[in-house]
Amino acid sequence: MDARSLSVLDRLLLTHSIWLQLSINPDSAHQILQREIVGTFLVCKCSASHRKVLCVRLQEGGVSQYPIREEDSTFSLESSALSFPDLCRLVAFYTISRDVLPFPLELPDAIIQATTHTQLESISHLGLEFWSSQTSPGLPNGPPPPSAPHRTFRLISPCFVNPLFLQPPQPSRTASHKRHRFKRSLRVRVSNETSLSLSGGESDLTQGETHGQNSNQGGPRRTGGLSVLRRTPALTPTSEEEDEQMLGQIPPSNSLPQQGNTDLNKDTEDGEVCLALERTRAPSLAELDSNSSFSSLEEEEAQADLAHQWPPAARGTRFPSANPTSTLRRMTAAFVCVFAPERRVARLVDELSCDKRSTFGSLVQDFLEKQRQEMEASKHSSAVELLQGMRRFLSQAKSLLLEAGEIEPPIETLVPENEKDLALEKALFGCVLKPLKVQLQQALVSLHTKDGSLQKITDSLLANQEGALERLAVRVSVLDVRGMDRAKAKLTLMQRSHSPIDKVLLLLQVCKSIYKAMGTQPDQDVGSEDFLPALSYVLIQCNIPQLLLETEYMMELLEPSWLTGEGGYYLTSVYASLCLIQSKPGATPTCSLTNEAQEYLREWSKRRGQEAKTQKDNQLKQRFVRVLFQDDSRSGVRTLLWKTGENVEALSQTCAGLFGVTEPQHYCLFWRSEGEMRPLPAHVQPHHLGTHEGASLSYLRSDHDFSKMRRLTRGGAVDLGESVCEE
Amino acid sequence: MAAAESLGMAAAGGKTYSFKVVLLGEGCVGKTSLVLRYCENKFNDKHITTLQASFLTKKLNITGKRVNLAIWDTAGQERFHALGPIYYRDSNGAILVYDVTDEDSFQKVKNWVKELRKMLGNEICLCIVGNKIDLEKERHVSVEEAEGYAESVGAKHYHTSAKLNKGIEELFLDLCKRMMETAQAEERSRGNGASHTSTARRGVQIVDDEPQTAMPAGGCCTSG
Repeated sequence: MDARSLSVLDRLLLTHSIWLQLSINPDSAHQILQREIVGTFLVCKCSASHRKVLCVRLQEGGVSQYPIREEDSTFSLESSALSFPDLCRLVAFYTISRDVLPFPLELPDAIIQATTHTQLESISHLGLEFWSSQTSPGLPNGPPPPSAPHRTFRLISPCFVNPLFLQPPQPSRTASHKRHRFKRSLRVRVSNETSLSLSGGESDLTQGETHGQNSNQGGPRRTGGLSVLRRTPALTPTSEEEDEQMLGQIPPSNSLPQQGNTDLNKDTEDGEVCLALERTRAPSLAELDSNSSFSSLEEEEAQADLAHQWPPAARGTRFPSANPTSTLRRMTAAFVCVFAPERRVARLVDELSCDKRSTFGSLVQDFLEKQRQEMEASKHSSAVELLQGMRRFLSQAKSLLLEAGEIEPPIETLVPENEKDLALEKALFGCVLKPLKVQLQQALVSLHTKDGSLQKITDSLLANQEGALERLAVRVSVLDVRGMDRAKAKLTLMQRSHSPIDKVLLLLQVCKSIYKAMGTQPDQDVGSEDFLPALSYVLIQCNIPQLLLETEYMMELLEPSWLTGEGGYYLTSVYASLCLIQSKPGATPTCSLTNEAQEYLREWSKRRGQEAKTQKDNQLKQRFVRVLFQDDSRSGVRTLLWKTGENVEALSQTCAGLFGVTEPQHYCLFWRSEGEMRPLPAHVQPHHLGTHEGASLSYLRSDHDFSKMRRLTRGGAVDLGESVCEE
Repeated sequence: MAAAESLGMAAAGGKTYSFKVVLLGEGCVGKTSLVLRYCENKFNDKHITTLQASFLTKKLNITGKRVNLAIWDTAGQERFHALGPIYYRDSNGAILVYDVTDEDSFQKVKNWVKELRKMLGNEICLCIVGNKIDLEKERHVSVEEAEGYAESVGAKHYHTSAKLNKGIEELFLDLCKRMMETAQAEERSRGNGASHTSTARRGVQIVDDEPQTAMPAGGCCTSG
């Protein structure tokens, strides 16, 4: 394989641990870059503004900083009008075109000269150390020699990265407008001979094209030798497509009038122009309405397509060192095919969760197995207990994903900071709640049948059917028959999704329709006073006792801090409505309810306190550590969870088992201390490790030749040969 | 702390505060108008909130710190009283509104104060608001009495008129500052471990004495 087969984008993807240094601030980046040639760059994070910054070595020994803007699912340099779907693409683009930079970015020589991914991987193991590993760069400070101003081009096959769109300098551009354009411009141009050919996959390309053809009648367009890959409906439908798919799922038996369908569509179209607010918190109603993807529902149908597109072989073999090609294929495939950033994260997390060899995968799989057994044996005493166990696990799994750095490429390069949490939550729902969906549903029904609550709400709903409007003293207009049918369809649909987020979306759509139906005078202020009775009336009319279970499911499984947002408010209103419906009709409900409500509040507070405490304790007591293993013939990297109290010897034993070392007495753990690789002292505990992200150790023969290791660091990347870490 | 960093836990600099404020008071005291007045023009016409919603948000910048306010309206009639806790749990602040022309509505506020203090303790910032000062002539609750009461329960008192848009900005700005102070004090007492979501989890007085649940099986590496 020659250097040509690795595109700039591939090289960037594989070596992100070198140029992406989010744990250091621009000052440290400045110091590092001063030793490098002009054009060398780092992406770091400003600790004051919490923003990513592209730092570039300039001609006069200086370093320039370009803050990176992350909004509306795109990345761009603050001074530029060009936006990119992810950080790697942004950087790749600027290695080719300078745009607002004084000159294009330069990748370090070692990265450019590498000819195989194994080499790139071994370079990437160095992480931040890369920059100090080269003692004499041998290049004078200053611009690269005029004869080779663009060596990148000569050595590496170019990679065409087109920005998504130009941002016109109009101050009034709205998020939704932009996102709309984003959707329209969802196409990447990738050179035939770059990423695609690299991933061993003409097949990938053909696949992409085939799907392009299937999904878009136009088929793949050719533009000057570039094949244009378009999104496929199974992976990234537009919101319109999603709505259609969603509607397609309403079972015909639902007695939904034909008219209803078209109206539903109209509804969402209206929503399309809504401003998206509150992106970082609970999904805002407007946003949910228009831009939401009911991924959990749509997946049901997409499943077949996915299986077809992602051969099982590729899913299983995703451990980087075991099969570098698959790593790369995975990363590249994720880059080429899937465009909605959130979906990309979901796919990566899902694949990781299926791989028991990863820390995350083993955690998830073990949990799923345990949950299945426990549900089978009906071990849970209450639905709330069952759900809280799930939520605790979701939170733990999320912090593991964030800390352990097993997502490749890092999530920070895939989604803007403010969308990270939502993307991760959705991804986790997909790999934890989805596999358990049927069983969980059964368990919840059974628990609520046992405690009588399901019967109680069923009775209350029935008892309230007559004269509900008067009893609730509804003072505003309510949904008409058709509106009521639509609301019922949405509440019914809600039960088919495993995702609490998608459920809330549907709930919010119902709430919105209730507001619309109120049709109040402009000068009339309508608050909760009028909304709550109207909502209660609709819930009675819809008469879906399972809504009790759904409400609980959402309240318990949504990330607690989101419950403060709009979704949380309306969810709370539904909960309050259900309480109201169940309160004794006629009698003053005050007293009978207060005790229950107070108990509920106490429970709630207790849980929240516990959660925060657990989270804090976990952070103090354990640490994720990346361990690099290398000996004569093999290499590999694994992420371990190192708990306080576990001594270094125990950790070494774990490593021996993990890397299949037969003579553990000849191996030990090393760490980098004062610039030197030294054996890890026996007393070291997790918190002694460096404070930078992704603390790493090396598991090596005690007599490891470090001179050799240094040699293969930077000056010239030595191929480590067949890396082995098969189990 | 690397973990805190990667979890997006912010140091003071780029921090955004998120506060939940619950709006309590009798049905006719004008609490909805009050908050609509405060948030008006804030939202685009298609957003639900302009459809006279009961959930509103406001973004502020106070001394360089970003603050997101989520304002929760509650149904104030007596028949809904029992639903209160469902709405006010996890609140950072409460705005208790009465009508200066309606002595009874002031009594209701007193009841709310009692309940909130009992359920949420002293961490919740209370604002007692006498609304409709445009009807000064018909005032039935004396300024001295109201202010004296507020002081006695550790709350701040404000006079507003939703109709004339008087006193509303001050009320919210003041409340935000107080909630920020409370949050900062709490952060200091919690040390580094404070997460940016902690503000949303406050208002908890109940001591947790249950053993924490251990990490589920497989927390450590497994050889496959």
